[in-house]
Amino acid sequence: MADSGGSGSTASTILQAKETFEIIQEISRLLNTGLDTETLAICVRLCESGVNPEALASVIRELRRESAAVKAGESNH
Amino acid sequence: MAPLFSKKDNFKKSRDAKIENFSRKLIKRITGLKDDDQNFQLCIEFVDSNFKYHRFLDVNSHQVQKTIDGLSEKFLIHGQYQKARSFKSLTTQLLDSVRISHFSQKDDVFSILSLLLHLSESPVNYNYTPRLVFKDKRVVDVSEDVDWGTYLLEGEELSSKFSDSQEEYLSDDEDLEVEKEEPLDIKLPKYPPRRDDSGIDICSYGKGKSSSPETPEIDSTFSLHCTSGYSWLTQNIQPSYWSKASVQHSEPLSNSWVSNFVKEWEQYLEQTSEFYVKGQNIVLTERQVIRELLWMLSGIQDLFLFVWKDNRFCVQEDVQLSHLTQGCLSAFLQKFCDYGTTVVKLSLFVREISSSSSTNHCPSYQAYAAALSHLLGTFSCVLRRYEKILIKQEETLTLSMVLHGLQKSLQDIATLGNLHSKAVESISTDSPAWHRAVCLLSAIYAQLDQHDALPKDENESKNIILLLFLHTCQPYMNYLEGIISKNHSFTDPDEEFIICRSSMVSTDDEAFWEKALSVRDIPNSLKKSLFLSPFLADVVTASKSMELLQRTGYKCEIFKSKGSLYSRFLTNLIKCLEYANCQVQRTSNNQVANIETSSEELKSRYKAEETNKNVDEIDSLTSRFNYWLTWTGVENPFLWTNFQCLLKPCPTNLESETKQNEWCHKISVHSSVTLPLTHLIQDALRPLVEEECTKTCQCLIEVLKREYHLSYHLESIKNFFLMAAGDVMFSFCSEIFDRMSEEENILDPFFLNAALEDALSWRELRESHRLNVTINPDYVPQKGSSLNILENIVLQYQVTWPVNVLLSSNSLQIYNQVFTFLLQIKCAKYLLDELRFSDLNEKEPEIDSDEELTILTANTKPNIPHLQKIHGMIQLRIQILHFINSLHAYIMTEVLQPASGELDSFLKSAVNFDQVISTHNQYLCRLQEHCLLSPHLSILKKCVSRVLDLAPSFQHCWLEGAANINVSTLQHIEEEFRHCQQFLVSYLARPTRKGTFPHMESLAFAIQTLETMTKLFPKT
Repeated sequence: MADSGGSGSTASTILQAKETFEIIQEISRLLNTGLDTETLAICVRLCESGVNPEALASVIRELRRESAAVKAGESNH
Repeated sequence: MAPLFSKKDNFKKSRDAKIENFSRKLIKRITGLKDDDQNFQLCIEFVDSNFKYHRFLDVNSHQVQKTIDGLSEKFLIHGQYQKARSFKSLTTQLLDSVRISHFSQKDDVFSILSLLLHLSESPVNYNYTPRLVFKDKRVVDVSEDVDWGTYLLEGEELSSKFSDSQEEYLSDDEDLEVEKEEPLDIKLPKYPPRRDDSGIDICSYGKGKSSSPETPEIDSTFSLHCTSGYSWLTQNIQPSYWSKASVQHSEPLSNSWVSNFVKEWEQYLEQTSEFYVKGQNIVLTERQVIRELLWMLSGIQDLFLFVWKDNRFCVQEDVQLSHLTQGCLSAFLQKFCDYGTTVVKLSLFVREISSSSSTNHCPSYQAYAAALSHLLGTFSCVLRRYEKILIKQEETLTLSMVLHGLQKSLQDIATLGNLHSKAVESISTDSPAWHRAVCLLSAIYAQLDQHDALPKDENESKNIILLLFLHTCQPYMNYLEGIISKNHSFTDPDEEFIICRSSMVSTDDEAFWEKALSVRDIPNSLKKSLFLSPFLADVVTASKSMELLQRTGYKCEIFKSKGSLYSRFLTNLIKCLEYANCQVQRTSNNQVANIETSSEELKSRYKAEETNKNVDEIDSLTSRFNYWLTWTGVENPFLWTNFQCLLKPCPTNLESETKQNEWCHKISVHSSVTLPLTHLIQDALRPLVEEECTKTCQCLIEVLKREYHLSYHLESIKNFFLMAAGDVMFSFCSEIFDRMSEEENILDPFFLNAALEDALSWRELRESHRLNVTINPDYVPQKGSSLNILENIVLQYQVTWPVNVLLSSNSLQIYNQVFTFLLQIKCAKYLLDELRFSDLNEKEPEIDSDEELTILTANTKPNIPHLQKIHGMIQLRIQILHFINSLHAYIMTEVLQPASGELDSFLKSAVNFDQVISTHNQYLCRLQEHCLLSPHLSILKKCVSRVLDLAPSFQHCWLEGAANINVSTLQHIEEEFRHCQQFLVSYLARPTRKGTFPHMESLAFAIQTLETMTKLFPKT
């Protein structure tokens, strides 16, 4: 996403990357995705790595559902 | 090729490893499982499987964009404008932040956006508050604690990341280098300053305190997707503070303690008082309060801050400003409530009068309502100016500034309210129209008078009262003009004019002058303060004269007026005001020229402003009509032509309107004079009314004299009734007296009319057809030779309209009373004058028998010598004749002649018919009084009549002859005469009585002289 790259690793690049991530974070919050900063960062990296976003979304939802089910089961026991 | 494959393989392996690594982290973050957990492995497999073998298509940027647009529209539909703005703004910024040329990064951005969109869970229901604050790159502090680069890179080295693909991403580096050289120019969206109509303390809509222009609330691209009207609405929308349920308790932006005074105060109260409970007041901004205040003063009743209850405004209780507590705000606004109530009251009155359904309102009320409407419109213009300032938000506007600015206008409104309650509200609506109109005009005039008495500093509302008066008096001025001017006809269907025309009396009626027109019965207090009071008598006279003139059909050239009375009155008033101002200026050593110049300047400036205003109005109308045609898609040239025609007469209307405004303006400019305005109004009106009245009255007098021979008729009356035509009347009277002396019946109409015709025929007088004699129908024949019988002769004179208004039947009756009295005097005089000495001596005693001789001897004194008898008879005759001659001379020379002369001179100098009538009535009263015909002189009249009645008896004795005279009869006559003489002397000539009847001095002297002489001679 934001290359901080090699020799051109400057303050402006970092700033741009930071601002971009802030925007993404704000959009995530606005859309009520439920992703915290770290999870969102991981997701961004995955998307950059070529993972299909729809598949990623489906995985996240499934993981959340299963995790919730497990936790609910544990709490019942 | 081989190296190529190896590169790809390496890249793929590297990517897979990276994905697996991040997958693990993702699972840990989401599920919280650890590496050695059994389920963790399952998760790894699940994720891996899904990443590698999914059925989803690649990311479609258009689809993502479409979804973003759809979602933002969804926000708008749900009324979440802020969320929509923020979402749109954020996505746009995200896409803009990526270099256009950098395709892969753009795909990544769309991937991320797609991911977020798929993961979103009912964003509409989510309570979002913006947190993101953008800062300019140039001022960013790079030495922040968080190393985002390291954090995002997760410790990876870029050099090792794509170590085998340097060339592939070379372009990226080049771009970065180029970027490094370029000045930092991040296109931050240029957001307009946040619209805040709420006031000087700009409140944030959410919890954040920032209101800097950088706040990403409105995006420029956003407006492209909305209609212009919708955009306007979104930019100007006001938080619905009027709905208590949705009110937001926002914090003021300023941290100044002045802006947070209420908070400080509440904190203080909380600290100092244990029982203090913080109220849940709605916090408004000062601008909102000003706006509500302006609306209230405009007469709008449905407001939040000001509640219309029980026909008055009161302040909403649970409202405060951030710097004014509820109590303080309420106390401050309370005084405005009275003004608002007044405005509503006046507006309702104007609306009621203006409504077509109301038929019970007289023109004066309508004029008053129109004037009120004009003044309220002016006040409304002042309010609109403040509202414009509020809307523009370019200037600071506070409540105290508004109060200061509106002080004069509010004072005017208060004056109008007071005046309205006195002039209209205190008067019952059931009272007649004239009463309401008089009360209205009197109240305004009295108020003007009252303001004249005030010092100049407290006198600022005088101007509007004057304007109100001048508008309201217009119907009355029209009535006035109609009633006294020939060019207008007086119609008063509403019966509101103070002068009423009785429908029972026609113009032909001889009682027309007394009963046709009258001033309505109004209390003196009201009449005193009516501006027409000084002219009412003149106006009534002039109106009666005008009606008579109109009835005669006479056309007079002098009635060509130079304009309406009202316009001339205004012109005069302006002149008076200007003159008064000049006088004031002169006394203060200022040059008059300055005034004239400034007046001219004002006039020209005013004219120019008016012209510009008119042109602007027409332009505005045309453009609006054009817009309407375009908007509706109507292309109709006829409609357009008609609209143009409709605008054509506008300039003329505007011209007349401008003319009216011009005098309003002139009067406004000059009405600040220190001289009392009521006096100036009178000065302006008096010459006009007097001129009109004099013109009308003089014209009537001329017409009556020239066309209807008024003077000639009066002369005829004098000639015959007052016997000024001596020869004619002697001829007529002598016929009667001769018949009387012969003891024949004189009360024979045929004889009397024949005698009159004979008398008139001598001089061939043309009044012969007007004169005739009748007998009193109530006459009862009586025995005796009293001259009272002559009172039953009625001389009649036929008078035609309009002379009969003056010579009415009552007047002629009085003339006839004088005539019969004169007839009696002349008869007595005639009877005594006609006695011959020969008659006294010629007859010898006529004794037919001894019985008669005995009687005669018993009645006569045998020892009285014959000559002594004759002497006594002559002496008595002279005495009675002297008395009658004195009376005759008194009546003819002392009463009739001077009175007639005075009447003639008065009639010549009379300026109106009223004066003619009153002079004539006075003349008649004087005749009655001086001829002893008044009831209070009846005793004198009786006494005189008794003396006159002696004449026929004496004549009878005389004609019997001295030889046959009955001495007792003679003695009785003498005794009667002496008694009457003594009474008259005692009544008229006593020193104590002197001066009681000054006009009868000569008569009294004559009688007294006679008495003295009588005493000198012995009795018969």
